Amino acid sequence: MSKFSRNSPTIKPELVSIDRPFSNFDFIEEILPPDFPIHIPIQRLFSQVRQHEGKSLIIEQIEKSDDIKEEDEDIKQRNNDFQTSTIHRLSFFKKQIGHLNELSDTEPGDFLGYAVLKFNLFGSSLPIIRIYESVIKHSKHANNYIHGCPCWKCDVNSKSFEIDGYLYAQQNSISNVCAHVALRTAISRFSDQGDMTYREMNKIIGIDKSSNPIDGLDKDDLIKILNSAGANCQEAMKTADVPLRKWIYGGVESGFPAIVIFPVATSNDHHAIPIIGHTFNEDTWVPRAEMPSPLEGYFKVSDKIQYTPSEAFTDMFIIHDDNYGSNYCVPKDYFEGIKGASVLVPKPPNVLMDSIEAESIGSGYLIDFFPLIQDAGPWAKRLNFYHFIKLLVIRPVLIDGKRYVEHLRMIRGWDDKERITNEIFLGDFESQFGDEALWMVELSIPELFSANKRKLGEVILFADSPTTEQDYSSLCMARLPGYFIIYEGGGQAKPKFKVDKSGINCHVCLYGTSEH
Amino acid sequence: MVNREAEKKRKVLIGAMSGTAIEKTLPKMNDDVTIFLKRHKENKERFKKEIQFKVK
Repeated sequence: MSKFSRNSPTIKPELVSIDRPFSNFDFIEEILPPDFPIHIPIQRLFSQVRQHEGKSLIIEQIEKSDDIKEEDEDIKQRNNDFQTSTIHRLSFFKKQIGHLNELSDTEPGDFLGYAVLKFNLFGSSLPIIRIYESVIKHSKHANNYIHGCPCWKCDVNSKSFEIDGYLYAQQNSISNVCAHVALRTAISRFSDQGDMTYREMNKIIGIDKSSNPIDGLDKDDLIKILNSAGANCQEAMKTADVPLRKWIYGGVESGFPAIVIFPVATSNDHHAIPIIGHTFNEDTWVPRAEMPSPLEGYFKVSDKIQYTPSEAFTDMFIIHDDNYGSNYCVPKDYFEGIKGASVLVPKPPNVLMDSIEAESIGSGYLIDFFPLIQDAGPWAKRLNFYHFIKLLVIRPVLIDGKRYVEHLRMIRGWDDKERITNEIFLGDFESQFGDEALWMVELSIPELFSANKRKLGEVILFADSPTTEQDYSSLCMARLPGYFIIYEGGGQAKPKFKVDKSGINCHVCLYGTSEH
Repeated sequence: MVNREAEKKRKVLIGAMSGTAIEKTLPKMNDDVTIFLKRHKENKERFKKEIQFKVK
């Protein structure tokens, strides 16, 4: 018996060619009640497959997994009219498959993802059809960035396939609501199994046979479930200093989906959706046109510390919405205008410093350190000038020490020769900080950041540092053109540093970019 | 990471620097960020009280 339906054994497989002249509309209308032949999430699912040039669909009637049986029982307890359910798994392939036997000839890249459709059948009302869960390859557009995607194993006619992505699901409105499905998406970065059943969630928040999840989940419920999955949680709303998008970006840029909660216009209730990624527009006009001003696209810590945050180059956030489907884009400022909108940003439990603290502390250190590198050549001079005209670009990313050392070993100067050669330093960094959660606050300037996706340095901060002061206690080290910089002591009054040549005097690729 | 542990680990890194590493000092650091962070911390405390919702 499988715990999750993506791994359930097949009962009856069927192969369908979905290349032209196959019609998505005809197919979907056939499986829906004739009185209401529209299902937006299923139509969105098939549209994404069409965008990926999907050619083959395998439809399997599958055995009921543990989570499906649990859900059936939980629905029955709350709705006596519920009779049973039927389950179909739809798996999509880019390759034209002529026969089911040819599944074994497919390449890993041919698998475009899957969806489990659950038909809940009632005695006196129409069946309710929903996408119980789905993972579809995200957009083929190169400017889409979805970090930290889990890898899901899915069985198709007894053969195992893998797909990377954040799980999408629809609520059943009886034993779970939109908060449950948003949580499923966010939890996949934390839970050991990458998933949690709705009954498990309800148990954590004390919803049993006698209580009703459709009465709604409150903030404490969501936080309790995230905590149980192993996540710490930051709650936030828009303030005069910090827009909501900055909190969202701080999570998704490091690979942790955020959950946005906002009031529904037609009632007093709220809706929850997970935000899983963002777009990056290298030609965006706004951050240049509004520099330097305290308007959107610019961030001001103080009169001295002002810069363009990397999220200024983001046009859209990538979201799932259980009402409408998966992998949509929403303008990054959409939620700023909704009164009462808030966000929950899950993060690893040992991370006490948030992305905004990291960005502001890191930018403060970087700017303070410019006098230490005056002899480092043209890029040091450029940094000083770009700071003077308030045109620095700052990007915070949460990593661990091992990944930072990998990054340092890989980066090269623009001539492709300059590199870090002090292996003893790199080895000691890994042994001392390999398992530490670190904020890497990257420093760049316009064009170098947006067009080349390159940077001039970074400051490394201890993410488990509870400090809210810029007193060097949270500072691990910094790398700027030409030099490594490590704090030695002296306190805030007369800070003392050890400065050593790094071997790289110019710019290197940003962390996580394709060159890396 | 507690301060003492961080200090110890930073010393190991300094020990791994090359023989040409030099010591430099800065004048008193600017405390602009500290002012921002204090306000930020107050906001985070406020969020705990003000954010309330029922998601259906």
